[in-house]
Amino acid sequence: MLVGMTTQTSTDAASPRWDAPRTAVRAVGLSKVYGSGDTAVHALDTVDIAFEAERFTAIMGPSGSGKSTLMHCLAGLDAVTDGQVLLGDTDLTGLGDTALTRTRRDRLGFVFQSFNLLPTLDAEANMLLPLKLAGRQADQEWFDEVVDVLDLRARLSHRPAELSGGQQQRVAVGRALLNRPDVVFADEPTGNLDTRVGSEVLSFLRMSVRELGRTVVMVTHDPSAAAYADRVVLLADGRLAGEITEPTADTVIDGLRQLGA
Amino acid sequence: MLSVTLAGLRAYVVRFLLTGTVIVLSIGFTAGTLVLTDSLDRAGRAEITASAAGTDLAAVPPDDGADYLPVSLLDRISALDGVEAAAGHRVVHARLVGGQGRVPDRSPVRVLATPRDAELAALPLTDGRAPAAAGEIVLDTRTAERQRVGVGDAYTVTGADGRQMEFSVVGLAEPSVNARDHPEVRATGGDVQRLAARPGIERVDLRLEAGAAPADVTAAVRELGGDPGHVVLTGAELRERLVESSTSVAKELRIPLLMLGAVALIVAAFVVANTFRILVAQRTRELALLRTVGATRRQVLSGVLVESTAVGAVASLVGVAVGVLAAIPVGAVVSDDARDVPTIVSTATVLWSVAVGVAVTVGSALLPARAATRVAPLAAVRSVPDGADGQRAGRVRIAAGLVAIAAGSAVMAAGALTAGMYGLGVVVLGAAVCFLGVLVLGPRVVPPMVRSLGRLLAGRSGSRRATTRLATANAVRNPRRAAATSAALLIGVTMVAGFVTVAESTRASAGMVLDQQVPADFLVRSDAETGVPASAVRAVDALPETGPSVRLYDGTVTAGGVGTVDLLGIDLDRFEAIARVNGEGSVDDVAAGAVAIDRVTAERSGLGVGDDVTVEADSGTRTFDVGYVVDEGSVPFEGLAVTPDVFQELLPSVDRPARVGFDTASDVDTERARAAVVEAVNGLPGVSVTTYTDTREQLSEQLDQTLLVVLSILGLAVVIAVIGIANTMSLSVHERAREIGLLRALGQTQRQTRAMLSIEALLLSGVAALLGAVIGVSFAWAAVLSVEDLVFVVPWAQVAGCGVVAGALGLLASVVPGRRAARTAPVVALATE
Repeated sequence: MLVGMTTQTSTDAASPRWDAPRTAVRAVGLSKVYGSGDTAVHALDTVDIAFEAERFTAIMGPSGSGKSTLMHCLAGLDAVTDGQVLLGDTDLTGLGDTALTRTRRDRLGFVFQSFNLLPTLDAEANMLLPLKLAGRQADQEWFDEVVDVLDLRARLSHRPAELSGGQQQRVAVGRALLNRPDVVFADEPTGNLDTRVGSEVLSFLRMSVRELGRTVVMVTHDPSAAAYADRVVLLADGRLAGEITEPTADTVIDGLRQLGA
Repeated sequence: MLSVTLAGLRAYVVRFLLTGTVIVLSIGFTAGTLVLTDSLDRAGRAEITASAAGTDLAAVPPDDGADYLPVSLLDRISALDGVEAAAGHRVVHARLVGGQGRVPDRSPVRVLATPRDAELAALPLTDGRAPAAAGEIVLDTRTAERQRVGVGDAYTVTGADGRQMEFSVVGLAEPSVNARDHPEVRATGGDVQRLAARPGIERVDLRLEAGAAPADVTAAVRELGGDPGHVVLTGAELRERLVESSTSVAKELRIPLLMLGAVALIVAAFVVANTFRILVAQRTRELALLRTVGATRRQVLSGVLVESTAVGAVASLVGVAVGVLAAIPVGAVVSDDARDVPTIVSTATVLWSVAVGVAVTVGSALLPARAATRVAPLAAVRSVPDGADGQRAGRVRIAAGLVAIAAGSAVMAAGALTAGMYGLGVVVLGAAVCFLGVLVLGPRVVPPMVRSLGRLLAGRSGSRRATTRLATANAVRNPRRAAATSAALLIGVTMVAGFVTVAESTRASAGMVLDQQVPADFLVRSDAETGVPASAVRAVDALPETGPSVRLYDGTVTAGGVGTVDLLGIDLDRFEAIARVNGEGSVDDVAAGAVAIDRVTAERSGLGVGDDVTVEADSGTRTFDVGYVVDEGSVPFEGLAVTPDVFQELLPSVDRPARVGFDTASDVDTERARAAVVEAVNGLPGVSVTTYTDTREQLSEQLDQTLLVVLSILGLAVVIAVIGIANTMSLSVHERAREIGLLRALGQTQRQTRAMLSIEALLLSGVAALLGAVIGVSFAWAAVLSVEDLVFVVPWAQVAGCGVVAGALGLLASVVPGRRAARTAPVVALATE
């Protein structure tokens, strides 16, 4: 029933570059319960999972499988009911709101499905926002590199309303990369884009892992999007339901079909 | 459709509470004013009617005739057939003489003639009995309490000719409705005539014998005729006339209170309109959804209509209730607790208040709803409300605003340069037009100001800069909303700044006028026309605390080529020393026996320095040289001025100076000198001491009291405006929930979120405060210019203080929305719609 429970071998097989895979973020016995008593819903049920640094991991699963909840908990956007979330050596579940907010600001990056940008700020200000909130200056070289990689040079002074959907998502990716985060979380980043523009954004995400050395964790329901990842984690009913390394759209569809079976 | 409307109403109940509060406050004020004045009016009316309840017929002077009827008419009416009793009414003003013969209080005592007939007198006695014989009086209870006088005590007043009359208090009665704050003495008719400057009665009331025909008696009274004749009224006509001519507190309060209430209502209209505009904008999708499932535009609009009518009606009714509850204690205070004021809630009050409240609410709701229903349904469903407004201020709006400002300023300038009584009215009109222009231009003016202020607050770098820039962008993202939000506060601040500036200018000007009019530190004056007795002058002169004195005599003479003019006798050797003077000629010549003449009289009669003028007085005719033409002096006079010696020769009958001024001796404290002067004239009848500082303080106190009342009412308008800011903020927090969630996800701490909202509110209120202070002071400048003798003074500290308070209130308004925003979970941003 379960497919590809071969975490150890897949890591070895993934790429010869990684001699000793470092864990970027890890969930230990993570549970998330909405409501209480009879109406309690177990969105996550004692999930143990680790995400290696400098890799692109996709989280997949059917609707209601808990994939978004898992990402929210990993990113410190939502409180957990039980268990731990370790970002490097930091236990996010033990942090207060301000410390958690600072952690998001300084160590994490986000790309959401829609409404990624503040309508009142231009593209450059949107990209610099987390740094500005921290009262820090951007590293100009890094900024230039990210802008050039994302091909946003000509769009820097445009407001979100003046940008296409793909451009908006590229700005969001740029923002997520600028503070050199430990992990970039992407929640259905291509959900609102057509296939061509979507694959462009996914390429950028993969490039940021391969060429810029970032760690990306992406939630998606689209097998072809998941195929851009190095590894796909499958979730069902709030539990880990297997994983696929070096996925292709076909292996992912297969895996999903077996989940539904 | 109704059920959908009602469901919508329930869902938005919290947000409607905010709108409702604003309406409740402003309608409460309006209704409270109406109830208060109605109640005071009714109380006064009842009392006035009661005071003439027993009157069947009354004789009064003819409308175009003299003020008084001859005293003899009373006896002639009493003697007529069919007249049971007749009573003559008369009020004279006298002055109270205190325990040691000093006049302690400048407020005159009303002395009323009391009819002997108890029914006609209708005396509201609380103690003792009515005055029956000469020398007996009934005193009003308020004065009795204040001055600690009771039945059996003596009470002394001086009449018009300075003669003192000592009365014995035989009873106490409620003060009459026209008493205002004056002591009220009810004496016999004979005593009142003795105190009067001119004898006579104001009206004769009469009571008919049982069975006498009113028509016959009316005819008989008419036939009495005489000069100047009289008019006969029925009892009912008399009571109506008395009510109309009464000068009750209620009448004086009503108009100014309602005008200030109108300001509160205008501010409320702004806030309500803005709230509805935001609510409807947020509900565009909901309304559009209704349209896609088949609701017609008419149905959607009528839904909004029903909704706003419901909110307006409920809030107005609550407002009326609040107003009534507030009017009761205020009524008790205003009426001095002396009598019970019934609480009159007339149908008209309720109807007007609710009608105004509903009209304001519905009007404010319908315009944005119409705009919302014009959007194509599907486009509206897909739109995400984020508070942005693509609409730019049109050219027509800009042109209209500029034209209004230009026209208003021109009218104001014309008013400011027009001396005379219409100047101020013209300035107010111009200011209103000009202000309207500012409001119309608001969407173009407010955002740039907010941006500049934002840059000022942002500072150089750091996270505060990021927070401030976010707040600035938020504040101006919808120019019309920003303008409307600050407009409400702008009105309040403009009015406050304007009033404070006018009040301070008045205070300063009055101070300068006093400096000119009071030629000395103290002025000893007589309260009668008899002048200051020599003993008083000697007593004060002898004091070591006082310096030189100046005697001022007043009289009238006829001068050749001039006509009848006032003649002032003044110590001219002191003219320059105390009575600073500017003009042409030589004061020494006047001291040597020439006359001084004021510039206006001189030009009118063609006289100049060196000309001859013939003066005709009681003692004969003499010719003088004109020695001095006075342009401007500390002692203003119109006519001629001579030395006291010359004055005595011309008018030997005026042997006492009307006023004597004294300076404080050098090295003596003013307070000590004042105490010494008061001590010296104590016991001298009819002499009072005025000090320059006294007068200034009295005036200051009056100004402060007026200002306090005006400011507390305008304060209400400011409170409503601040609620409006809180309203806008919490609505925009609601519609920006995802955006705030995104910011929180990206690393904005709760503190930064609260700070962002605070700065947003501070920017809007700050711009309103700055603009309001500038406009208010400018309007005040024009108003001050239009009034002669006023100098323009800007009370910088007070204007700045008012701006700071407005800004601080704006900050306060952001507290609740800020807390709500900070609680926004970052996950909200991820929710897909």
